Amino acid sequence: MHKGKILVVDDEVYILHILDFSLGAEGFEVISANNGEAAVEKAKLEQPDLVVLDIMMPVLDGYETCRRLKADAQTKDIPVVLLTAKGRDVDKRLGYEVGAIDYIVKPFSPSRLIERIEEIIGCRK
Amino acid sequence: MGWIDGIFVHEGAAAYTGGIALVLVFIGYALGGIGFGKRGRRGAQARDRRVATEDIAAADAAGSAEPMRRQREQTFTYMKKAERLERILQIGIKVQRRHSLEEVLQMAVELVRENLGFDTVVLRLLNRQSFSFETRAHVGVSDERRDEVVSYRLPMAAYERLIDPDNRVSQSFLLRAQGPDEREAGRAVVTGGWKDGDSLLVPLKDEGNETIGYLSVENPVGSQVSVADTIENIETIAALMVIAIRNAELFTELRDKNEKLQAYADKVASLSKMKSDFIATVSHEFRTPLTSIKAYSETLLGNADDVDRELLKQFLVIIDEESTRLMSTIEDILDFSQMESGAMRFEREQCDVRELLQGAERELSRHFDSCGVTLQREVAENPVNAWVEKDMIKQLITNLLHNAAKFSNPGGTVKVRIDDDVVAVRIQVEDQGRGIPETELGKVFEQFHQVDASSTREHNGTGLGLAICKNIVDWHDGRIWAESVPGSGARFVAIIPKKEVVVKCHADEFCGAMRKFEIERFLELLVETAAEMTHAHTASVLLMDERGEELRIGGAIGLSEEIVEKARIRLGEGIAGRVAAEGRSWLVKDIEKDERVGRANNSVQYTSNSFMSVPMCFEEETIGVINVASPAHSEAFDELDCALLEQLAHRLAIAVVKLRSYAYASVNYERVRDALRSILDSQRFIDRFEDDHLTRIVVRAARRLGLQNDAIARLRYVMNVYDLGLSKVGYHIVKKPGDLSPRERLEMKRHVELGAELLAVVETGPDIRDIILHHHENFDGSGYPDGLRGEAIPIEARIIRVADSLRALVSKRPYQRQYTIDEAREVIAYRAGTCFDPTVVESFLEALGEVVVSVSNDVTERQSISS
Repeated sequence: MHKGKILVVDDEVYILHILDFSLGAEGFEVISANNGEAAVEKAKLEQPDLVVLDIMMPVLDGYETCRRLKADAQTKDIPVVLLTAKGRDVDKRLGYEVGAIDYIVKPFSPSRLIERIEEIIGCRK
Repeated sequence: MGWIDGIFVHEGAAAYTGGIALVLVFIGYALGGIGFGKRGRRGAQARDRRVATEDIAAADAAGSAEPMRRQREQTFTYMKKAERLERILQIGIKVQRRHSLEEVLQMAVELVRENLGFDTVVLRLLNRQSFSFETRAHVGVSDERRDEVVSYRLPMAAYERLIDPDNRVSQSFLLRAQGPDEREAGRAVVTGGWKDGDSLLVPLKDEGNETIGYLSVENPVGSQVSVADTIENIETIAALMVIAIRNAELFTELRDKNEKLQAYADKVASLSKMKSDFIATVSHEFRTPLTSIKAYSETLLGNADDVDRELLKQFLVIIDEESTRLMSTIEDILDFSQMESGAMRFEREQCDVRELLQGAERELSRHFDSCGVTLQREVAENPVNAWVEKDMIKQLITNLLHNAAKFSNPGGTVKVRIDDDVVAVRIQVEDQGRGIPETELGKVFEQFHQVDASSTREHNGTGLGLAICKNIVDWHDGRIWAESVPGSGARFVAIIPKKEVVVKCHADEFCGAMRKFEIERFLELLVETAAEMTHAHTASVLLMDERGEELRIGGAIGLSEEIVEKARIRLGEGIAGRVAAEGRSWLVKDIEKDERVGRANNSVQYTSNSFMSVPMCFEEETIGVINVASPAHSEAFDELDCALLEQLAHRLAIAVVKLRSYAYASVNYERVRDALRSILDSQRFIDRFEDDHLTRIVVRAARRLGLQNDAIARLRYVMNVYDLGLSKVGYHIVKKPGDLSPRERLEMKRHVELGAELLAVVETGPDIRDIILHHHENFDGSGYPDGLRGEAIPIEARIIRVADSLRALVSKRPYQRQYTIDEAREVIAYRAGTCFDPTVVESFLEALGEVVVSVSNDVTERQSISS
């Protein structure tokens, strides 16, 4: 059963690993990137159904990555969920401002994340 | 009239002037009411008379009678009162307009002279510390007397003898030069007028009637002035001056407070920025491992029934790793906050720093592997023993290595070096990472400071690692700094004093206000400085007991605690006892061959064949003895070493006496300690080999120039300390590769003044200070700080100027290429007459030639005198 293609972006290899495991177990196809620049490239190329994006990353941070995804015609319609350790209100507000559809603070519950992803993708289909 | 404009303008300009003006008006009225003085002052007399005469003439013409005449006289008196009121207001306002105390005082004495007709006016204020009156302003003092007047201090007791009630006139005191009628002086002058040499002393009293100073006036000009009138006027001005002085003091105080408040506000603002950066960083550091732990454990729980063993194990390993990471972050923060609050209690112990490095390496091996970085070690073969807090030094090394690996690129190398620096251990960690921007070099040790706090940062960490290092080094009285490695990467250098110092704080040795802790730290610095300057392995400072009969060891390097505890040397006995009794130094080159001492006579304190024992004297009194033994770089001490130690002993004696004699010891303790630490610092940055030869060149050049032995000894000492101001400039500027910005250059130039200022606390005269202050003056007047020219620059400073340039030219410096001796010689010769004194250059180059010849004979392969 193929539920959709998810691009996960994080510089922490353990986070990528567990997201790959959990989402994969639920029937999602998972592709990953460990920085913002790579994420923008992969999103264009792979056209995922959703992007799970960390904020604090080298090279290009999550906010800027999201802004670029939203500015590019090829990727502007892909929903972005920010998954980040930055938990202050001002961080969240900024997240929504750059076009994220949801904002989940670390540490997170994988099952809650999956529910949210299913909801978002379900709505769009 | 102009003065009316004046008053209104100033009342409008400065709010508080209005209040003062009211006081003045009041004083003016009081005076007017009392009606002292029958005539106006000279300046107003002509006009007064003219007006009065016209009035009288007019009245006479009208044929008026006696009542009319009285009315006119009354009018005349009122006019005079108004006149006086005007003058005093003017003087008052002029004085009150000044905010700087020095300006107020100088203006006041000038006004007294101009308006009241005295040739000489001197103002002295009470110094509450020394309880004597010091000259603060004067006018009309002849050139021959100026120095005497300026430096004269009148002790309170002497002042009280002067203000004999018999001499009193109004609130002041008349002091007659001489004569049998001295006791009648006051009244005699009031009735009989001034005589040559008389002077008037007008006390300045504050609102509580306490004397804060006095005015002294001499030589009245013009005999027609009424004495009583004049005295009254001076006293009025004196009262105004007290108010002005108070105002100026308050103004200064207010301004200082404002500046302090502003500084606090800035500090709070930057702290709050750092705090919020810190919280963001720390919360990220906490949340990241916690995220893994939670995600992995929840996933395992959700699949508990059907998860396979291999996956279970893999997940558990990750959970374990991430908990360790979380724990170490927490520990970092706890360590730091405890160290900050001083809550930890540390104990020093003897240990080999090389072993601490091994421990740190073991802990970090996984971290190095995961960063893909190799560690290259360069460590002394022999034990590097130091008296330190073991865990802290291990943490210092761990943090530095951890940091270096973190900022390295995969495949890079981290170099660690541990050197034995006679009295200090030098720990050096170098990486090949991206380096630290110049502007950040000075800041990396601030708590929570990470060069990159942005959301794109590549490196984890709380930013506390280096702040912890700084705390550890400070606790050990050491120094740590960061440098850029030319090319790429960063180098961290920590210098930890070995403190094989045993100190023994004897009761009553210092005044009671000083805490035991401070005395011990001070004694430590004392022996360290002695050992470091003479490059000796062993050094001890013996202090005379309060009865002047016995010497006891205050502190020692390289001696056991037992010896320090037990050693008691009676005056006149043993070597140190004889040195103390005779007040003359002993230089023993080889104990076996010295007739004055035999092996049998040798105390345990002298651990080598060559030693020096030098008295610490202050104003003819011997207060202790410094012993040094076991020279580190040569077979035996020589006369130059002895001269150097004598110079140093003199300074240390001053330091001891200062600490003993002040009631507010902790303030002086800080200054003395700062001076000694800076001396030590400047020692540690001198390349030894180079320095020894340079000193030989300087001494030879000085002899050629005909300098006397005491001047040469002084020079020898200054060679060791002249650049100590650099320690206050900041090593990120001193060691900066590339050009300095104009601001940095300005900062750099300040080192001569900073150095002179630092040393002031251990100097009695200006000679050493002046050499240090002027060692960057150029012969043609283009140098700094004062732009002195030619012979006006002290000869020692002119010699140091050349020596310092040679040192700079032949050294490896980050900002310039290293010159050969021949190139340096050409540069120096070329600058003769501009930067350097041509006669000094001539002698210096000759001396250089001799020393280089003897060096190249010693070490043939060495091309330059620099190592």
